[in-house]
Amino acid sequence: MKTAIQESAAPPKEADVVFGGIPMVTYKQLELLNGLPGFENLHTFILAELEGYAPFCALKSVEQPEISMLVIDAKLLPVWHDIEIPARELQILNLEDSGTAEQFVILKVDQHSQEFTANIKAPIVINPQSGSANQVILDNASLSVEHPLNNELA
Amino acid sequence: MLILTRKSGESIRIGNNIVISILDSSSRYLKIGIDAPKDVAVYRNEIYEKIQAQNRAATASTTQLDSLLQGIKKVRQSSKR
Repeated sequence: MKTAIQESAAPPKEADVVFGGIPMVTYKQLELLNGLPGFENLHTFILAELEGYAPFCALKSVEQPEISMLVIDAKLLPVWHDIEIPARELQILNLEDSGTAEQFVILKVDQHSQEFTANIKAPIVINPQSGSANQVILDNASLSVEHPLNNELA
Repeated sequence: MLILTRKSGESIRIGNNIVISILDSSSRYLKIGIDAPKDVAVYRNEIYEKIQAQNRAATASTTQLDSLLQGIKKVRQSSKR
């Protein structure tokens, strides 16, 4: 049987990193410890601002560059002020408290209405020092995977 | 699928560091306790599957870049108002 060769995750050259033709700027590389649900085999991602589209950012797989999604800093959403990341999840990422964690939510756009929704049930929590990250599924049943984003941006 | 019969108060060990205990059972519900190392993520399966589906859908939508950029413009306009 052929052994799958894990490509070394060398950071791509900045100029090569685009999201649908838009340059991704000041990126950082993340290691998703558990992979991304739905794409459990993908662990290394680039998170970057989209040039000219701040505060929108993109999360793009290094291992499979056609896998990318639009994300936004969760702290920009007013709904986020009451949300707590469980201590257990912070410990896994070697974070002392949620204040030191970066938190992003994945966005989805409706093809017809062009309205955005954010998955606030499962934020991507990042240790900015190490780049370790996980998509954390929060227990709170009131959090929607399709939280409407319009008029929500602070 | 391996099928085992257990009573309340009994447990199952998976590997050497995961123990699943049946804490209580009624006709409709089972209360289950899980002892696992902290790096083993434990989820209600239907919720995990929902997140998987959302992530796949979010990826699919980025292939429709026109809608995406229109959506960004729309959000920007409404937040300026």
